Order: sequence, then structure tokens, then C-alpha cells
Amino acid sequence: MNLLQLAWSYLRARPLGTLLNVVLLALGVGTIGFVLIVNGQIGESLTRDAQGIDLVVGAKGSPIQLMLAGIFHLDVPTGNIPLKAAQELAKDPLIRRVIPLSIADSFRGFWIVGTSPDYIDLYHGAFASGHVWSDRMQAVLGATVAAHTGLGVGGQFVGSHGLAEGGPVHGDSIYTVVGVLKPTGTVLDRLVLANTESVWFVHEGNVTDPEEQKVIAAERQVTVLLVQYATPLAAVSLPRKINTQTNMQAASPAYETARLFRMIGVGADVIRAFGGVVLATAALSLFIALYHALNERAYDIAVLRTLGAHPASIAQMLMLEALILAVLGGVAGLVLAHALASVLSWWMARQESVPIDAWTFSPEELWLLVPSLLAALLAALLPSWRAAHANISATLARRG
Amino acid sequence: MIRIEQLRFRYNGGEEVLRLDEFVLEPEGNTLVVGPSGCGKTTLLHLIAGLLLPSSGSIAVDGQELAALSERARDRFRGRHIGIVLQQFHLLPTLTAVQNLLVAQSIAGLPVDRAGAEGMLDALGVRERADAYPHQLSVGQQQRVAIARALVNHPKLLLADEPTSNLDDESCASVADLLLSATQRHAVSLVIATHDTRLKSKIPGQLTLPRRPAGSAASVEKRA
Repeated sequence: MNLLQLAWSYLRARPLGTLLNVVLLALGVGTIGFVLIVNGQIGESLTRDAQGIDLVVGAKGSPIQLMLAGIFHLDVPTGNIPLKAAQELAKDPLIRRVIPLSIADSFRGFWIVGTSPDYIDLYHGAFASGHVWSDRMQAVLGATVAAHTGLGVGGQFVGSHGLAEGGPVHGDSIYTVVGVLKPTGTVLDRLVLANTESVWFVHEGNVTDPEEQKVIAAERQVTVLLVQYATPLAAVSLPRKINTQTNMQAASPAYETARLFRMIGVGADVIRAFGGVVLATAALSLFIALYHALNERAYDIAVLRTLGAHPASIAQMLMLEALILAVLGGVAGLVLAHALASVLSWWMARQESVPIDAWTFSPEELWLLVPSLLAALLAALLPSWRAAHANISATLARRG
Repeated sequence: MIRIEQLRFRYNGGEEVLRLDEFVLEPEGNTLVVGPSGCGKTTLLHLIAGLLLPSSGSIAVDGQELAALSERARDRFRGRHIGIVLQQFHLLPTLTAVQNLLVAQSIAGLPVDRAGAEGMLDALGVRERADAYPHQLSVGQQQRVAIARALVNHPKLLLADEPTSNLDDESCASVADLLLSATQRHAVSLVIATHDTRLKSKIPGQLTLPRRPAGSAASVEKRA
């Protein structure tokens, strides 16, 4: 029957008040934790997707849209650029590598991307089965796509124009699956890949007349170029050069992601501030409960003193009560934060959006207990001090 | 057991509320502290318990000068050597009967000894109520548990503050008998502060405190 058990006995004796304080603390910690988890997960996910890409080049328009479409495949592209201009750009000595992406069609809500095998290497993609394409109309499926559609090597499908399911179907151009990738945790998981010629073929049809082939070839386009610099110096001149001297647009993923996060960040700040307000309310509620307990228990405290309890022990008992609540509320808040994140994760998965791993606990999350503990300590400070300095003799005499 | 010399007590800057030139209680001795209401009986008890410190003079319990101890040591001394029974026989309401005894052991810094605690409840005839909460106990049972709690650490001195004042004759006699038999069995000195004349027949030793000393201001000035 130590102080901890004694503190616990008082909490147990008023379950509703205890529950209220735990719930308030949990709501505060949970809200703040939710923002932290989601922000962290989205940030990590976006960073993984943008790794190794120094510059996105595409048709003129919104740079954020270009980045969302070109890297994260979360938006429709800004348009297409002529293949010739792209080839011209690839010759620039400041550029080490260019990965072309042709984006026009989708299969069951997943984008079909015409590209080069470099794109798979960029995300360190490895084959779970099959191999990379060797000819047009051969497709490689990302892990998520394979899981959702149930297709494997040898399976066949047709793309539909645009992203919406049930759009116009390219019924006469049938893709055959030749490979399925292992999960990479990147955007690659959510894409159908083929060579660029496949995408052209689907839209041009099977042209046999050599004259017509020539005309079509001259008008060929790609959607986005993912550029890797040959030298860091390229960052200084290349984007400006592209933006001013060509009909294309260049966007820096690092800069645009930061800009995007600043925009989303306002929302995150609001939620975080809300969490802070709830936490402050919890601290106030806890303070009132402890202060009330102090008056209610004045005689109990006096009795403990007659049994030989030191004033510091009395203060410790009230502190312990607050800390028990803080730990209970903090842990419940962490679970709540992950539960909220898993709801969001489920919703975002339905939108084929950025994946969120809601139930990964990181040790840093234990820092979330700190605001809860601080709130409890703050709330317990004055009541503890008063309890320790109460005039025991007077309390006993008053009843006596 | 208790030796008091030239004791004066007044609250911070207030007038003197207690004056006792000499009082000695032998080991295993019993005494009543009597006197009119407001004469300082409870104050004297709190001074002996070390809950208050004398403004001047000395109080020694079992040879230990209380004022010479640090606050923490005094609290510990009280926990180990002095048992206190309050008028309301107040038990901690969130703990069971036996837990009320265990908490007394723990607070005094002694090992928690459930068998010892149950033995003490047994000695007071309430062992079968060990796991009941105070609100489940009759008033008589609460008194017995409170006395058991005051004795569980085997103190040398038991202080009781108006233990019988709200009780009918029968209960008064039984509480007095309980206190006397329990303290005799455990070789504990007993001091009861009371204005209850019914106790005088049970305990012959008496310390009578006078009404509040008059002219105390003068004596304060003299000392200064």
C-alpha cells in the first residue's frame, strides 16, 4: 500500500471524473499525434517518390500540378510536349539522365505510364515475377495494381482514356502483362508501366502507310520528363533556361513540395492548435479536479500526516494522481491518433492516393506523452503545494 | 514517556493559548487531559504528536526532544512511535479496513506486513471485516479499525482526541475499554484529551488545563 496505490485508490473511487480527465487528455494528445503521424507519413512518402528527381519538365501550366502529375501521379498532367523538344533537351550537357513519361490512359483507376526501364530503376523496383517489356503492348504492373486487379503475368487488359473508370476504352489495343513488381513503398506500386511506343501505338492505331508513319512520327509527344542533373550547378541555370527559352515548363520537386506543404501546413497548424486547446482544457479540468479533491480530502490528508506522512509525500501523492492520468491519457491519445490515421489511410487508399502506414509506432511518438505529462504536472503544481503546506493541526481541530 | 517543561504555545504572533510548566507521564502510564472547552487540550495533543512545535519550552517523547528533530524526522518519529485516534475515527474512505492499516505501515517507512495488520484487526475483533470499505462498516467497527490502525506500528504512545464525545453511554464505555485493554496489552502509554466526564471513572490520572492563561502578552514581553 504505497503512495502509488493510494493515489490509484482515489482515482478509482471517482471513476467518472477520472474518465473525463483521461478522455480530455487523450483527445488533446490524439489530435496532435494524428497531425504528426499523417504529416510525417505523407512527407516520407512524398520524399521517397521524389528521390533522385532533380527537375520535372512538362507542358506549361501550374508547376504544382506538373509535379503532382509527373512525380506523384495524383493529378492529371498539364498537357504534352513535343518529342523533338524533349530529345533536344536531353542533349544538354548539364543533364545526366532523362526519363520520359507518357501519361494518357488508365486501367481500373491506375495510370498507365509509357516510359523507359530507367523509371523502374529510379525507385529500385525489383520483379516479383516476369521481366521488363521487350516490345510494345507489354505491361509491367506495380504491386498495388497487381493486388487490386488480380492480374499476373500473362494476364491481358485494355486501357481506358483518362483516369475515370468507364471512360472511352481502347478496345482494340490489348496489353499483356509480362512482369509484376515487388512492393517499393513508392508511387511505382500504383502504376501500370509499358514502353513509350505502347502509348503511342494505342493512340495512333496500326498505321502501315510509310508517308503517314513519317507525319505521325514527327508529331509524337511525351507528357513529362524526369530530369537528373549531371552537376549541382545545373540547378542554377537549367530551370530558368527551360522556362524562358522553350515552350516547356520546369519545376523543382523540392521547391514545389515545400510550397505544397506550406499550403497544407496551415490546415495542419489549425488542427494542431485545436489539439493544444483541448490539452489546455484537460489541464484545467485536471486542476479543478485536484483542487476540489484537496478540499474534499483535507481531513484525509491530515490523517495521513498523523500517520507520519511527510508534506512532500502528500504532494507526491497528488502529483502521482495527475501523472497516472497523464500516462493513461497519453497512451490512449497515441492509440487514438493511430486510429484516426488508419481511418484516413483507409479513405486515402480508396482514393488511390498516397499510402499511409497508420499502425507503425515510432519511438519518437513517446514525445507525445510530454505535453500530456506537462499538462498534468502544471495542473498538480498548486494543489500539491497547498496540500503540503496545509495546516494539519487546524484541519484536525476544526472537526474535533 | 512524556516529559514537558515550561511549555508555551501561541499561534504566529497571536496570544498565548497554552501554558504548561511541568508534566511527566511514566511509561505505560495513562492520563486524561481535561479542562474547559478552548483551554488547549487538542493543541497539547498536537504538540505531543509533533504536529505543532512549542513557542518555547520543551516536549520530549520517549526521551526524544521533538523540536530537535528535522521536520522529516519528526514525521517519521510520529509514524513509528505515536499512534493517534481522532474524534471521528476517520478512516481513508478509498481503502479497505486492512489497507488502512497497511498504509500506516508504509507511510511510517516500515515493511508492509499484511499478517501483522490482520493480527491487529483480530486483536480488536474486526478481522472478518478486513476487506470491507469504511462505508460498509458500522460505526463501532470503524472505531475498532481506527484504533487498530493507531496501534499497528506498535507505538509507545497512543493519543486520542475526544474519542467518546459523540457517543452514547454504552458506546463510550466500550470505546474506553477498548483503548485501555488494547494499550495495556501492547504496553502503550495512553493520553486522552476529553471534556467527557464519563471517562474520569475509568482513568484516574488527570492533567487539568486551566482556562486560557491571562496576561500572556506580558510574559511574552518579558521573554523578549
